[in-house]
Amino acid sequence: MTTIAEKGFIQRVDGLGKRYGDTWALRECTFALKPGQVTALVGANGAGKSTLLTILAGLLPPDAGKVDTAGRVAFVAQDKPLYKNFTAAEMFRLARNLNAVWEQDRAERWLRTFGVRADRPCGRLSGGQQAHVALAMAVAARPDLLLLDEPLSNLDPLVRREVTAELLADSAESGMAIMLSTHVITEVSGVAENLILLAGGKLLLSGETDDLLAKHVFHVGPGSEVLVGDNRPPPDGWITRPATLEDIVLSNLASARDGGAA
Amino acid sequence: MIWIVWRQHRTAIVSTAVLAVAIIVFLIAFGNGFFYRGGWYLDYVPLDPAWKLAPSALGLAVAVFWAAPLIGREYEQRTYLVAWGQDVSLHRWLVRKVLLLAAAAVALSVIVGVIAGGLVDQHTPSRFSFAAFEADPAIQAAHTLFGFAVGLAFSALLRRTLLAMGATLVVVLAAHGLYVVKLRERIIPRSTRSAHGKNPVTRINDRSQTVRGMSTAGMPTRRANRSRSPLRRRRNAGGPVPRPPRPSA
Repeated sequence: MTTIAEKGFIQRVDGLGKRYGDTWALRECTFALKPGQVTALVGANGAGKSTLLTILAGLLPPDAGKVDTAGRVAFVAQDKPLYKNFTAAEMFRLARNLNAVWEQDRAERWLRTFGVRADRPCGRLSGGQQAHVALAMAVAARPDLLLLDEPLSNLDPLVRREVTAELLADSAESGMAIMLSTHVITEVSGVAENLILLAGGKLLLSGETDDLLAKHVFHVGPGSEVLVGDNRPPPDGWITRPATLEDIVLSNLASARDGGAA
Repeated sequence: MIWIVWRQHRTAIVSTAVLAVAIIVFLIAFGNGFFYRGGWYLDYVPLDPAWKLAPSALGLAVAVFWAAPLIGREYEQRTYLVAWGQDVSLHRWLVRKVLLLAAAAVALSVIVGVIAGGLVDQHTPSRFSFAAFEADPAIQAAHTLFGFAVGLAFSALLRRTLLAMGATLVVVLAAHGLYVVKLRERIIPRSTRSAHGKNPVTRINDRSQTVRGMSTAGMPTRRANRSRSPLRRRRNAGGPVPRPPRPSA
């Protein structure tokens, strides 16, 4: 098996497509995920984020294109499914039995950090606590790539920040790449090094966030402002202001909707 | 993996084991009939032959409660995203789980078959009699494996637990009914020797009954006695059958 160092990426996606009946949920997606990078997968509801992540996790076969995987992948699904009659400790035992690598200490430390009891059945834990059990299982398996489908949706704002910090620390320590999907752009601002923007199953935008921010500016004129992505000079009488990640995402989504991205 | 299978299915396994014990106790207590106290007298009531299908209930329980929810429940509760998202591949996960559960199910049904077969054999001399044949460990294992396969197939196809359980129940019952009513008589030889090897037996697949400890299995049936052929009548009656004269050299 070719290693990540030889290939230079953990996963490379080439022309990926998935169809449900006559509808393409995902079309012509091409990108690569490199070690240690945090990638934000952004898109409106129904954009194809969960489909893409499920394919990357190897749980759904694509109908077009291919996925080249060089490392171990862990996946935390959107609704954080767990065996409801298993305790968190039993879920860890299950994961220990099914994974080649498992760090029990890391899993237990995660639960202690966020105050989740390991001896209660998962079905009796709150949504947020269940999310912690799922995240602890994924992190303790020490994957090369961690795929998280809206991981912060069940958590309160303070815990979101703490979870993000924990994940970033793990990524920095072990070189684990993270891809997290969200439709709340502020969650990933300042966190994600890469951005992948999906709309109607198509890849609208892909690249490093620093590059995207450097390229995109607003041209502000009398009564209007226009986002441009090629650093061209503003018209006479107009001024330029920097764009945020949210500006870039929202502007692209709006133009995709108005232009009929589907 | 053994721990995972046990932890996930322990309720079903324990319940089925309890059912197995109940079947064994039932067969020990009322294997052929029961005494009924009707006032001052004690009457013996033979059991309906249908009760002799009791050991097969184990195979049905395995099909409906073990196999039918196996994959459907994972899809329904979306836990396949956890189970199949680990390092162990889906195929290995499924093969190991199916093999372990099938082995446990077969072991249970063989135990019930051995005990039930032993009980039935005390009263029926022929292993091809209705009760003895049904209680045979190999037949029990075959029933269980067939039910398991049907349940697993419905579980994978329908991906809904209740629907798969219902479909499995109907199909396994229908297949068993078809086998008992139609096919069983065709696959069992019409004439064979008794378990003792001495008395020739006709129509072994008759529904033998045991009344007050006496078995009617192996006895010539009324239909056999109606035979017009004197040779066949004598053979049916268990008498000596004259050999055809040898051609002289």
